[in-house]
Amino acid sequence: MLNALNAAATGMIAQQKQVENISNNLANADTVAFKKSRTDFQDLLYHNSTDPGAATSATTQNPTGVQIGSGVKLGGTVRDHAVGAPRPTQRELDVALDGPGFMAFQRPDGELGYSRDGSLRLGNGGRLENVDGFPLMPEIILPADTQGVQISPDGRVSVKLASNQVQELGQIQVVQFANPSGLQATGGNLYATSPSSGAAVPGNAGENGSGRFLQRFLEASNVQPVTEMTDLIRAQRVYELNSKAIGAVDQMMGTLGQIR
Amino acid sequence: MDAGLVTALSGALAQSKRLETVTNNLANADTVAYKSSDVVFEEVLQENLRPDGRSGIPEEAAKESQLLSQAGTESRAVLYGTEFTNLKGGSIRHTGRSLDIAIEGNGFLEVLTPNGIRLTRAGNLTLDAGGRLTTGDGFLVLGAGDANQDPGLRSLTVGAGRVSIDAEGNVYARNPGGGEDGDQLVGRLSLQQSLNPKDLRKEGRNLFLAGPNAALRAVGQPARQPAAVTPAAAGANPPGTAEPLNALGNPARAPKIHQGSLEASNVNPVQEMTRLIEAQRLFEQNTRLMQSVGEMSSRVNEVGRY
Repeated sequence: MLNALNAAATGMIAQQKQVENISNNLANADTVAFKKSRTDFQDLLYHNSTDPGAATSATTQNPTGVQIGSGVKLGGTVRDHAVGAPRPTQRELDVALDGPGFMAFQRPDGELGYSRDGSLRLGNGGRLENVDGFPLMPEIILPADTQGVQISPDGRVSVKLASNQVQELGQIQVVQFANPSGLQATGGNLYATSPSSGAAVPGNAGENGSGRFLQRFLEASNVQPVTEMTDLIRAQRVYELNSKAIGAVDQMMGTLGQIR
Repeated sequence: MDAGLVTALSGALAQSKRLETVTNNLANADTVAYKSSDVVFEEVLQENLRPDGRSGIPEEAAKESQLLSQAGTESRAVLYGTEFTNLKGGSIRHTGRSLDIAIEGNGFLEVLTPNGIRLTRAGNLTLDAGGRLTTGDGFLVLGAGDANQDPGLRSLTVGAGRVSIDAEGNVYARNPGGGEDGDQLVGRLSLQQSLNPKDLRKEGRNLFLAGPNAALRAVGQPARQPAAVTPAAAGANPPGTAEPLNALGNPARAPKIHQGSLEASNVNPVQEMTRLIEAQRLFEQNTRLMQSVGEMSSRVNEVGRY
């Protein structure tokens, strides 16, 4: 009976985690280039009180055995790296990638952080930086007398100077991973490499299947509120069902306490 | 009188075991491709319960009920009989994620775990650092191939680009080697059908272990293992027939893969809640019975007292 209580409790805990995850998705529904994640559940170990195929006599076997499961666990959260819709912003330092890939930013701790959030700013001395002031790598520095910036689909940054000259400053690189879902989200719209993401493979936009840059656009989050809301309803109902099961176990144990 | 007590006790024990199955099903009501379980009870004559090997009762069960064998010959008890996994397909839910696949029909993916090859229907796949298809636990998803080959060589490398999986399980990836050649065939998912699914054992982590009588057959390939069990149970392949038969004697249909979807758990909350109520009420009745038998015993003790 205690096993039943535990199994139902794991069900409630699992759904609680799902609600936490859904809340995070919904909270980030309007975050630039946010990638929604999903909770995937797994059944827990089974207690085999009779193995399938155990002998029931000299010549017969138990066809199915007796297996009692012990509940559910959160197997993992899977981040969906599907590309969000590009949203026009008319700001010339906004870029979105229309396919796979990341931009690299230099984090203060010396490591590279990877992001698809292309709302670039001008930092100290005209350097292209993200919202937090982490410089875009490789560094691109705009001259002081820049009149206009042009970012081509393959990432080349060129500026129009006060003297009406056009100068090419460099190319924004696009980094790809064998398994983008294995990247570790570190907050601040940045991801870090992990052993399961594979090594960063830098390249140019539009090559090796990576996306191309769209200037004056930002990538919207790929959260679909309708899906999140139906998931929320399901999570809440499964939570309720499991709490009912706990109630039933409780009453049965109460009944048990009254015998004598 | 003792016999009555013991019969009620066995009934209460059986219902509390059943409750554990129901709560496990409810806990997994939202687990990808989870298959619900149910239990079937056996009524036994208590005289059969002696663990002497003559009875035809499972040895373990006989041991459990040694207590009961003292009880007399005329009463009956309930044994916790067998557990059945309901392999009915769950509903297919669209997710839009390219590495999610749902299997429609009788079929399992082969995955390589540290303990050997296991089967699963949970199609929430991911990639490892080498771009190979894995399950959420990082177990390699195997491609079709020679069963005698090292399973580690049967992995499917797709990389981070676009992946398409067709209804037969063929996996196409966009330039897995980094080239610009468009979609290339990487391999075919190894789909296994069990012609005797009763011998599939749940292992947790959405995995099944195929028992010796599971009569596995690779879909789209000749039967790997001739079914050694009775033809009616497992659909042994009569010589000369191309398609193996299922338990009902019909040819086993090939499963169909749906990309961008997941199979939901097949737990039916209505059914589980009624089972829960039923188990609870039967448990209460059995305990009440124990109580009244106990009261009757105490009355007996009062006989002759002033």
